[in-house]
Amino acid sequence: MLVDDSATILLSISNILTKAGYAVEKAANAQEGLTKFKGGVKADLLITDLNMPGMNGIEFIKEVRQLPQYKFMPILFLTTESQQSKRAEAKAAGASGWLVKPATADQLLDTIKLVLR
Amino acid sequence: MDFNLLLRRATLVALLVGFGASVVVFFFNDWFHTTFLPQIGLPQPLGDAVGSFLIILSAFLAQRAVSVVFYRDWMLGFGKSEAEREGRAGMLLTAAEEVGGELKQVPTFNDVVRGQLRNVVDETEKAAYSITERLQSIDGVVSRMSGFVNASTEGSSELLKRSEERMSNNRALLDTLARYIQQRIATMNEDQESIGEVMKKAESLGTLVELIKSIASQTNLLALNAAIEAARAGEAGRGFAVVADEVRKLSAATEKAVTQINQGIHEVASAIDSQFHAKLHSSSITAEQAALQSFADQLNDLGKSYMEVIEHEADVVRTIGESSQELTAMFMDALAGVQFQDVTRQQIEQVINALDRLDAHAAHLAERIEQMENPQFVLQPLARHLDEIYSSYVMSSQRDSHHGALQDGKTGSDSGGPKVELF
Repeated sequence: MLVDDSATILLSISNILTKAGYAVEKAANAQEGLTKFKGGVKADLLITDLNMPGMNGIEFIKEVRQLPQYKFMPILFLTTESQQSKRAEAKAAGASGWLVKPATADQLLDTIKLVLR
Repeated sequence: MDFNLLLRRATLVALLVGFGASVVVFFFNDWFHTTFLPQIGLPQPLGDAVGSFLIILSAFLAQRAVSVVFYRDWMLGFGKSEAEREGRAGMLLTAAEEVGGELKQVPTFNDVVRGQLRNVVDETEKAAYSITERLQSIDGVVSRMSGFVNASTEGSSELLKRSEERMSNNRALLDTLARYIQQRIATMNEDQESIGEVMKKAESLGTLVELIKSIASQTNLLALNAAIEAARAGEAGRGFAVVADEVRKLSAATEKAVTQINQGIHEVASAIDSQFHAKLHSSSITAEQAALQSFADQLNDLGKSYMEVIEHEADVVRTIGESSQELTAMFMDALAGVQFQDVTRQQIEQVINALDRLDAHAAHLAERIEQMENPQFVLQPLARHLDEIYSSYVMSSQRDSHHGALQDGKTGSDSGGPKVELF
């Protein structure tokens, strides 16, 4: 599941993931992502932006962690934010890793492999 | 005008006028009391009072006169200064009103700038999206080419495998052919030797024929002797003479048969020699060997050329396959590079946020000008907005840029971490 408020990011990152052999479900904001999760969309990994209009990334993953089937799903943040305090906040909320935009295709795919292992 | 300067000027003029009044009183006191007052008929106390009044009035007028002479102003320069100050205050007020009016226009100006910035965001968003879609199209072409290359690679591998098998078969065929050539040469040599042996044996039959011919001749001679002895024996030897005659006839027939056999042997030997001479001649064997070898060489060359073509094709396909993989990697990197737009968008949003704050501060300043006589007005410093802007940054580069502009020697990277971090 890929969640980002930028249509360009959704298109480019989903293309990279599809090219690498992953099936990608997209959501344009946290609320849409949450609705899809609650609607039964299956996902092995969540990649989300941090700063989004409405619900931000940290609030979003807190909600996702409340869903029993996604309690242990790996969650990666892909964001322009690099502050340690935000990372710590994300970690406490249940995130598995942090990638700072712009991330290269190799950085993204290598990190995904690591968290899915 | 400075108060101290005014005080100094007033003191100086007062001293000067006081000194002048003292000199007048000193020199005219006696004339005033003894001559002037009696003439006008005023008593002395009243005359002193009027005199004091006149002296003070004269001193005042003298001060004004001195002020005009020295400072070109009735009030020691204060009047002129005050007029200038009032003029300046008026100008300042006018300027303040103008600045206040302009400050109120700042949001309108910033609206234009914000509009331009939002336009940049929209344009870059569209451009980045379009780039991504085009990259997607390119990837479609690359994927099709990659599929074709993969299929070609498999086909080439199969073709190469089959060609190698054919080459192996050809090599086996060439080996068989070489063995056949050697065998042919050996057989031909053996045949040549065998024919030679036959010829020798045929020639040796001539000796036997001569022997039989000699025996026949001796038999004929013995038969002749036997006939002579039979004639000598008379009647008793008549039967013996018949036998001797028969033996002689047999001897003649034998000689005739031997001659015919001899002739037959020569004819057979001649026929064998003429029949196999061409085939068993060494130059014919060499020519046949050379022809077979040439055929084998050409077959080998053909096989090698074929292999070279196949290997070249395999190289081409492999190179295209590697290029296709490189293209795929480049495509992925190009797609990842599109993230710059999101980074830029957020940076521009920060600038728009700063412009919003500038609007608020401009309005605050305009209000300050309007309430310039309000002592309760508290001016909020611009630095407060700077701190709030700093706290809203989301990138180390923004913080670095902020510190760089303020030249405070700090960096924003301290608060950041690695680009990739696993928890």
